[in-house]
Order: sequence, then structure tokens, then C-alpha cells
Amino acid sequence: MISIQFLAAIILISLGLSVAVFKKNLIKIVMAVHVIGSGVNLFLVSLGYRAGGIAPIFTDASKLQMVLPTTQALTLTSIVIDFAVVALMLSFVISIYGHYGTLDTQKRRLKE
Amino acid sequence: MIGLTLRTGAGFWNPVILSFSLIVVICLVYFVRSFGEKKYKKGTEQTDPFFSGAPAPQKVGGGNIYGIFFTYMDEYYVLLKRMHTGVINDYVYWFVLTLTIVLVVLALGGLP
Amino acid sequence: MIFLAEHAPAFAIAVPLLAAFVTPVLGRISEKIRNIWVIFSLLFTEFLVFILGCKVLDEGVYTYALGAVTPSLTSPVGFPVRIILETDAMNALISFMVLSIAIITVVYSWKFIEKYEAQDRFYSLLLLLTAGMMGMSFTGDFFTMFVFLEVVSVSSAALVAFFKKAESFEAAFKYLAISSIGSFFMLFGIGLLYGHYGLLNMAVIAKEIILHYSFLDVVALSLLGTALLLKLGSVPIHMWKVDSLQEAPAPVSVVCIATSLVGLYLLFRIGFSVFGLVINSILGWILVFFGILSIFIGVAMALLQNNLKRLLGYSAVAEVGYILLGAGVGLSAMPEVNGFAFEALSGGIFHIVNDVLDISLLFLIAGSIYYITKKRNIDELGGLAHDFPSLSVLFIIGMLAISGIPPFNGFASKLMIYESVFYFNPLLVILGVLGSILMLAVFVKVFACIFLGAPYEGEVEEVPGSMMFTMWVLAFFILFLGLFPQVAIDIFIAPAAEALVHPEVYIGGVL
Repeated sequence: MISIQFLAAIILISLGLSVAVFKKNLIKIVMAVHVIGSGVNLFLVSLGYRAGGIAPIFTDASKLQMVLPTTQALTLTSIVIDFAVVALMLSFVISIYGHYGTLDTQKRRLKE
Repeated sequence: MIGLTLRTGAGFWNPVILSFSLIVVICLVYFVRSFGEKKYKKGTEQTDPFFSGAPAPQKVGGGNIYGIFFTYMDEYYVLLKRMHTGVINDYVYWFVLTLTIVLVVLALGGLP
Repeated sequence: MIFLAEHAPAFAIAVPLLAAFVTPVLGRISEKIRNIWVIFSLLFTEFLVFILGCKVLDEGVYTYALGAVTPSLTSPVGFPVRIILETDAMNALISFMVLSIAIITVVYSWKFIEKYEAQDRFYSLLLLLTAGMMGMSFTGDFFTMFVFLEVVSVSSAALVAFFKKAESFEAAFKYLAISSIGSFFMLFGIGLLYGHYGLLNMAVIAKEIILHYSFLDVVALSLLGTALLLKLGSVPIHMWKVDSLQEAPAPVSVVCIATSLVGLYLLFRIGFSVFGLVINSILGWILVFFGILSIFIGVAMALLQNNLKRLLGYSAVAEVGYILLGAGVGLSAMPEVNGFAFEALSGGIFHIVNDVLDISLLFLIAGSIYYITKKRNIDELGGLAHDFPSLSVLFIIGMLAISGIPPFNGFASKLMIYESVFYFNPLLVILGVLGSILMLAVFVKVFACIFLGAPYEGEVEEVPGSMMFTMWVLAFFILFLGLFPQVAIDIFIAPAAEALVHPEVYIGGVL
């Protein structure tokens, strides 16, 4: 039986990919990248879930009950990276709109 | 000369000997050439390029070179141009397609 | 000295990273001090990598642990919290090459970007990019690999947009969008591996994978592999690379070539060291397939181009195909790589070095042509050989080397690839040689259009001495490796290939 959080992560990733392939607006592509990133982050953080586990900040819990905080650290890093990428992409979109006057992906000058 | 010979598994390759013999051959050619008649005069019409009797074009553009090649490879290049659209949606599409191919091939043949 | 050699992997990442943030401050004081600072920090890093490389060639794999020094020092749940930087002959070679290219780029940029604003940001992004590439090549940890990959993506996308023209913003956007989608898929694959093994260390996963190889690993491998094929710009996901190489300033294009070099290294590391002991020949065949596709489509598209840097971008794509061809043949013979498969792999690794030298030289020449004429289309140029004879000599060296004409370096490595691949499958060699011939045709066209013909009539500037100097340095190395290829093979190529084909040594370095 597949857990619901993994299913949600897969749905988010495929949603992002289908938007990136089929939608012809630059802002929507930035959103697609962000949604893919969020799906992957959800997948990562749900890998670290243990039923009945205790957060490792309470150091007086017994050793076997504590959750290994690796995935939380990974997800935090990955969220920051996602944020940086999206911010830079949005700034590129602003400049592209300034030069081209449109957000349509079909209006491109680099081809072949 | 052992250290200077490249062993390629099937044979060997010694660039030093080749360059040396190339220099010898060039010297020989130059020597033979010095026997030639000295009718060449700079600045006369002898030095003009010959273009079937018609006035020679001063500049041949990059698009003019290999024109016949492109004429006969037309179908191939129509395909290639259709592939290189320059639209970001298509880039994502090609990525997903490659991912699918790699996944299917590895799943069919990569399992123990 | 021993202290430096001991901590060299950490310093090699930290020095460019810290130098990147000091650079804008020094730029406020004086441009000269800033330039000296940048070049000095890169030279110091290269010195560190050099002594590290000598140490690795002498003593074998060197493992540097950040965090718990020994695996027995554990966190409360019995897990060692540590990040491993593992160095063997392969990544020492790659990081040395990357740093040399970075130094050449910086010296070239002194004059090239002199007239533009935002030079401080240019140099600090370049240092950040170098730090990212160092991290990618030294890391022995999957998640650290992802982090540094994103550092490289973000900083090189910002550098691609340096000229602030419409097209450069378009190229940078495409680059960042597609490469971050690739990176997130890679992170997904890393997450699958973590979910399966509870580990992120490459060497330990490589050990565990022998016992628990399953369908999950196959999915993870295809996600990681496709994302890396995207990063190194193999056909059919090469379009972003050509766009960004065309629109970036010439020195940045050269560094982008170096990033695809590090992507190749990571692909080899994952293919050989992590999955080498379990995967059968199918992965090698996949690399061969994409290699042949890259050679053919790259060369055919290069023949069509009239923009010089776009043409060079397509030929860079084609050159990556030869490396994939050689390495794929080596990989298909895993886990016992000997004889022709080993020669093919060393030819592939040798071609990494040669390819980056040749393509860099040609890109720097393209940058100089843009610098002196402000034109990029080869139809608008012509007759430059009358005024710039040394530039045309350099171009001849570069074009003969890249199309594999003896006695230049491209020939030596392509010969190794051809002769060993012939015993694997003769058809692949025929396709490879055909690609090589078409490559020469491409560059003959470029040479005829740019350098031959009536003298150029537009306004020209002189090429500054520092730019000429960097190009002659590259040409010297091209000639040296072409005349004495066996020296290079003996000193650093064969140890690097040995390091790849013996994953048990890599695994043993950590445990």
C-alpha cells in the first residue's frame, strides 16, 4: 500500500512537469519549477517520518525513539536553493518582459 | 623513444617521428619548388582569382559554402530544424522523453 | 606544507568561496588590487590541488572527513554525522583542469570585460562558480553534490546574462529553468537512494548496493543519469547549452565548458564507482547511444550555423559525444575492464582534457574576434588574416586539434578511442570518423569566412597582450599534449582510469 504523502509528491511533480511542457507563459514555467521543487521536498521530508518518533531536540528521550534529522536538514537546504532559483528566474522574466514586451515562450529569438 | 610512443591497444602512434618527417617532406617540396619557372609577377592579373571567366566574387558568405550538401540532405535538416525549436517547453519535453527512454531501457535490461 | 596537503580538499572549496565574498569589497578600493586578489586566490587553490594530486598519485585514495573523524564517533542514534570529501586520481585531474581553465579565464577577462560595469560581481560570481565546481568534484556525498550543482547552476546562469541583452536574458532563463528541473529530478533520485539505504555517502551506498540491488536503484540511477546527461549537454537535451554558450561572454562560455566537464566526471563516478559492480553492460550501451547521437546531430547542426559562437557550441556538443563513446565502451565491460575496454576508457578521459583545451582556445579566439570587430556573424567578417596573422595561426591550431588531425592532441585521444572501439563494434568507429571529417568541414568553412579573402574593411581594435598570452598558453599545451601524448597517459590519465575501474578501492577509502 502506497502512503498518501508519496502519492501527493508524485502528483505535484507530474503536475509541475505537465505545466512546464504545455503552458506557454514564462511565469507559469517558473511556477512549474517551484511546484516540482515542492513535490521533491515533500517526498524528502516524508522519507524521514517515523510513526511515534520523537524530534531529536529532546535529548532525554531513549535513543531508539529519536528521529534521524538528516532529511529535515536536507529539505531545509533544498527549500533555500529552490527559493534562490525561483528568485533569479523571476528577475530574468522581468528583464525578458522589458526587452521582448511579451511573456509568450513562443516569441523567442534563439532557435536552430 | 619508448616514452614518446603512444600505445593505443591495437597499435602505436609516434607524433614526434611524424612531425619530423613532415618537416623533411616540406623542405623537400620547397627544394623541388625552387626549380620552377619564375614567371609569377605580383600585382598583375596573374594573381586574380579565376572564376570561369566571369568576374570573381569578392566575398563568399558562410551560407554559400556546402550549399549542395544542404540541398541533398534536405529531409534530414528539416527534421533537425523541427527538433531545435528554441522553445523552453520543448526542452522540458525532450528531457522527459530522454528520462523515459533511459528508465525503460534500464528497467528492461538493467535488473540482475 | 603537510598541514596544507592534509586539509587541501576543504581549503580548495573554502578559499574560492571566501574569496568570492571579499572580491566586491576590494573592488570598491581599487580594480588592480581586486584583480590581483582574484588571481592570487585561484593560484593558491591550484597549488593546493596540485600538492593534493601529487599526494593522491603517490599514496592512493585520500579521504577527508568533515564532522566525525572516524565512523565510530556517532550521533545518539548510532549514525556517524559526517560529510566525506574523497579524492582519487580522477577527481584530482578534473579539479586541476577546472582550476587551470578558471585562471586562464580570469587573465583573459581583465581586458575583455574592462569596458563593462559590474566587474566586481563578474569576478565574485566566477569565484563562486569555481567553488561550486571544486565542491562537485571533491564530494563523496550525494546531497553535497546536489547543493554544489545548484551553486554552479545559479552562478553560471547569472554570468550568462552578463551582457544584459535581450537574447542573453532569454538564454539565461532557459538555462536556469531546464537545469533546475534536472537538478530537482536528481534530488528525487537521491531521495529514493536515501529511502532505500538510509545513507547519502556514495562509497557506502556502493557497498550496500551489491547486497540489495533492486528496481528502486534502477529508477534512482535513471533519474541521476538523465539529470547528469542534461548537465553535460548530450543530445537530445543539449539545446540549453548551445543557447547559453552563444550568448554568454567568451570567458564565461569557457567556464561553462568546464562545468560540463565536471558533470561528465560525476556521471563517471556514479556509473563506475557507485553502480559499477552491479549494473551490466546496458548502461554502457546507453552512453554509447547518446554519444553517437551527440556526435551526429552536433556536427550536422554546426555545419548549418553562421553565428560563430553558436557553431562552436554545437561542436562542443559533438566533442562530448566522443567522450561518452569511449567511456561507454569502458563502462560496458565493467566490472572487469581490461584490454581494449580500458584503452577506450583512457582515451575518453584523455579526450576530456583535450576537448576542454581545444574548445576553450576556439572560444577565446571567437571572443577576441568579437572584441576587435564587434561582429559575431561569420558572413560579416573576412580577411582578418591580413591584419591578425597570429590569431589565424592560433585558429589553425585549434581547428586542426578539434577535428583530430595529426600531430595535435585531438588526434591522439581520438585514435585511442577509434582503435579500441573497433574491437567492440566497428560500425561505431565508422560513425565516429565520419563525425570527425564533418567537424573539419565545419571549421574549414569558418576559417575561410573569417580569415581568408580581401582585407577586412571595418573598424578594428588591437588584441590586448594578456588575451593573446592566454591563447598562446592554451596552444602550447595543445601542441605539447599532441607531441608527447604518452607522457600525459603515463602520469595522470592511466591512474585516473585505474581509479574509475576499481570501485572497491574507492569504497575502501571510506570504510
